[in-house]
Amino acid sequence: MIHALRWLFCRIAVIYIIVFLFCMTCMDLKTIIERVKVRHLNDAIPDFSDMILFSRDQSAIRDIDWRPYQDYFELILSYLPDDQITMQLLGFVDYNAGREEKAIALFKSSTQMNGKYLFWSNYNLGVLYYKKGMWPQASEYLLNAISSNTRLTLLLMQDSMVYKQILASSYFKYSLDEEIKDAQSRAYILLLSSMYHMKQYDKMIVIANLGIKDQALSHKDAFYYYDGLGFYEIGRIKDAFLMFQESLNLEKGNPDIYYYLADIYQKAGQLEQARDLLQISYTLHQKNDPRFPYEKLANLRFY
Amino acid sequence: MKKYLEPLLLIVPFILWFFCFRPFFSGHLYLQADAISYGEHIGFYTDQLSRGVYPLWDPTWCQGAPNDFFLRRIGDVNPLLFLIVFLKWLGVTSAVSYLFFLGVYYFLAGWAFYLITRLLLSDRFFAFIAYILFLFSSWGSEIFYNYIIIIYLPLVWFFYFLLSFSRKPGRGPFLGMFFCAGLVVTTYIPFFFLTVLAIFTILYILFYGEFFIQFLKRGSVFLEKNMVLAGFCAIFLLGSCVPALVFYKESKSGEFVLPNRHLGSDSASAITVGMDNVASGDIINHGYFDRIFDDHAHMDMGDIYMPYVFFLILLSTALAGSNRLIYFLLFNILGLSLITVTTAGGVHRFLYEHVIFFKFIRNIYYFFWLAIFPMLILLSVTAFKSLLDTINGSKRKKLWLAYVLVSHLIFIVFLFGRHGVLPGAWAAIILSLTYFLVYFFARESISYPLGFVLLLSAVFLQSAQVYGFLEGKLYKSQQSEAHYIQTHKDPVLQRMNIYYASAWFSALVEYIDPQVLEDYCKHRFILYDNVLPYKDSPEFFKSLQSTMADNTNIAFLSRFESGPGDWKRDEGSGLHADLEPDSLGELTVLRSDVNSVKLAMHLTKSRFLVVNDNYNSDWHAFINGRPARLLRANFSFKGLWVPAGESSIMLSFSSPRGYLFHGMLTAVYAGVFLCMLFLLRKARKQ
Repeated sequence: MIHALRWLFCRIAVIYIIVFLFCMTCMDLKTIIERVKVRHLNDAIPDFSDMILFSRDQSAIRDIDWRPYQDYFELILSYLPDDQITMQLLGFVDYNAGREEKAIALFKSSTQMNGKYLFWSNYNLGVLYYKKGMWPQASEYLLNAISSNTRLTLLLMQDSMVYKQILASSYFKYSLDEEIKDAQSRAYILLLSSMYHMKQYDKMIVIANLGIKDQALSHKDAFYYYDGLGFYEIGRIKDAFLMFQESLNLEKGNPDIYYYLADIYQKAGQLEQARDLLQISYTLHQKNDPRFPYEKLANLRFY
Repeated sequence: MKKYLEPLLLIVPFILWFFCFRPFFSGHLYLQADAISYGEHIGFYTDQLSRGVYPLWDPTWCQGAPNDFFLRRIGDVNPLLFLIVFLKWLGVTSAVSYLFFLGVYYFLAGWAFYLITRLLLSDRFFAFIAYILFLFSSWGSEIFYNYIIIIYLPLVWFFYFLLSFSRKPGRGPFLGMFFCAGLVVTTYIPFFFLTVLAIFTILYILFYGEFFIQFLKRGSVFLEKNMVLAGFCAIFLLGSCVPALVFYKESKSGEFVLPNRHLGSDSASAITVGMDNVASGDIINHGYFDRIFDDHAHMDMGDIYMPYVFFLILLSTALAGSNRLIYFLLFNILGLSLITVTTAGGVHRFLYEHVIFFKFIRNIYYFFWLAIFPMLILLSVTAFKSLLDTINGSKRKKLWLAYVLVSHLIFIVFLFGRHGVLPGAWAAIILSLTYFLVYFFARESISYPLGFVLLLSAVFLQSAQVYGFLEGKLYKSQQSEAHYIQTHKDPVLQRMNIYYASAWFSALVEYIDPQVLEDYCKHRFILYDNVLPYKDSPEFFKSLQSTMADNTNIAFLSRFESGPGDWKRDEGSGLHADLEPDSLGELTVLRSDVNSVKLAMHLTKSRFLVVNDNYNSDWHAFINGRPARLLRANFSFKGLWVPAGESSIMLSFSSPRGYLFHGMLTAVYAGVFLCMLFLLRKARKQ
């Protein structure tokens, strides 16, 4: 027995046991595991320049390799499965990488935080459904988006480690606050357009008036235009005319306004003015101003 | 034939290793990470030596910086650096000379490792196995990735000489020990060596107490007989410490900064590392064990790779008898590992707080490459020898055969559960198995020579495939990096990420618009008529920026470093400073090298000359052979008043004594190196 034990203790396998015991007693394995995770994350941080440029202008950059972004955000989610900010970002990346279903699932998982709507997921879902022509779904998410708290959106972005990395890029030269307000305004426009497609003209008027009253929002000309469109469709031509005029005071390049004004003049029997306005509308259409129609700029974004 | 066997055992695997890394040597791939800057600094140093200049100032680094920091990094007195100088003299390009030097360095390191193993295990076969495991491990890729080979070579040869001396005291190994120790201490990071040596010594006393006493006795007898040599070696080692000590003193002067490294440190020395910064350089942060068993097709630089033969040996030897050497190596590894994991160990913090030199070590993970990794190989090979010895002494050989087969099978099953195992890996397992079958069934006259071939094939086939993938991946990433730079129009005005620079220039980069600074620095010499004092403040930097941008005829001097006699306001002067005094015949550069510049000047009135190379208190100015007052002008640069008429201006860095000391030390090292080779050769013949 003693001989057998002595034989056993003299084996090299004993050093493996020593190493095991050493690791269990002398090393903080929890710290090691946590730090290895951090290292993996640091190694996976991509260069955000392409993503930033693409979100700003989707025609500015082509053939983006989305893989590094997917890998990075997926890695974060493997460590922090409930991180909704990362879900939003991965959703944006997945959609542009052609994985629409996965993007929708990610956005849907991150529409609310503690009962409060998160702007970007709702906005992107709204845009996504809008592009597919699914107006009820689009208006549902866009309504959530405009109902969200922009201050909260800004704070969440500024507090997020991933957004901090993105914002630290030399390619990010924008004011986050301005970008959020711009996106919020776009959400209003797409919501109004969705309602128009669903013939919900009364609601259109309410939403457009909300947009007009909100001092923080830009694109007021668009809100007046949709407001006018709502009045026009329900037959309140005088209100429609006034709203179109308000829109024209702010922006004279929208060809559709001239079309509707021409229609109003025609119905009133003022054919000459109608003809002139139609001519303006036609000329503006020929210019192909990328800003019009307003709903044309329906792109997913993350800032 | 026997005479050539040993060189063959060393050279054939090295040629195969060279084949694995040929894209680096052919220029298909370029160096990575820290290897780039070390290549540049060694290139700069050897270029200057080729021109007969000992470069103590580097005007190309961040608008001029003392070169001592980089000389300490590369170990300037190393006679092997003259190999590069020699190759350049022959007309070989800088890049090829440096790569050749790297290859020679790695071969020498492998050779020392071979010799150590042979000395410890008294067997050429096991020394060969250790050598090829070391050669084909990711240590080989590390030489293209960082600079640890520069520290490792003297360290590994030191231990060879130490072991050799402990076996048979001789003048060759004795001088070798001091030569290697000297090489290490001339660098600014001899602390890895000191730590490894300290742990080695403590454990040696614990494990081999009786041998240690014998070693001391033999050593004292040797010292008595070789008093002159011992005295010389002591002086030599003390002299070797001087450059590092001078550099340490300079690091406290505040004239240069290493912002990233020094971040969070409470010490005055710029080279100390903040405790919070240390973790970024430990094994957890750097030792990439992720692909040690699988996914070799995606191996990256810095990932740790070890041929599977190493693991097969460890697995197959589990039931072999252990010995003192194995435990000695194991405790060395464990001791160093505890330090290397920093925050996860606790030992490092204690050492950082109580052992002064731990404040200077940032890349703690180098302990892994310098000692832990080679010791692991040594341990596995010692275990391998123990296994074969156990089998040889056993009557139940079939049982051992079954055990070895089962070990291989376990490893195969283990690998089946992993993804991305390459065909070369399976080939390595089959060849390892074949080796054991041959060992059990063939005669020794066949199995012994065949063992070299089979195990070398096992290691080489797997490694060649792994490095093939690594190079493919690296090539793609280097190409995409180049494409990115070409296609992305990055703004020119990028903030510099200062690693090491003059403290004042570092501040300029922080506060002055980079484009303004860049444009300003394009003019090497500027003549001013107005010189005004300033106090450090944000407003001053705004003024400086606007004078730099508008080329206003005002130079600035620190109020605290200059006096009213240095300041002047010339009401009748022009609005703009003279940016091109050489084109107007006011200034002619007579001679210029990295350490000095000689100018001939012809001025109609006294004017202030600013040389847009950083100021340092070790720069001296002479006008017509007489010492002149050199001032820190425009916050970071050199400036001096030049009188009207013809003047000869001489600006030089450091003192003749400094150059003499460095030159002498380099010559002494070359002499000691030759002497060491002579003594070793003589001992070998005897």
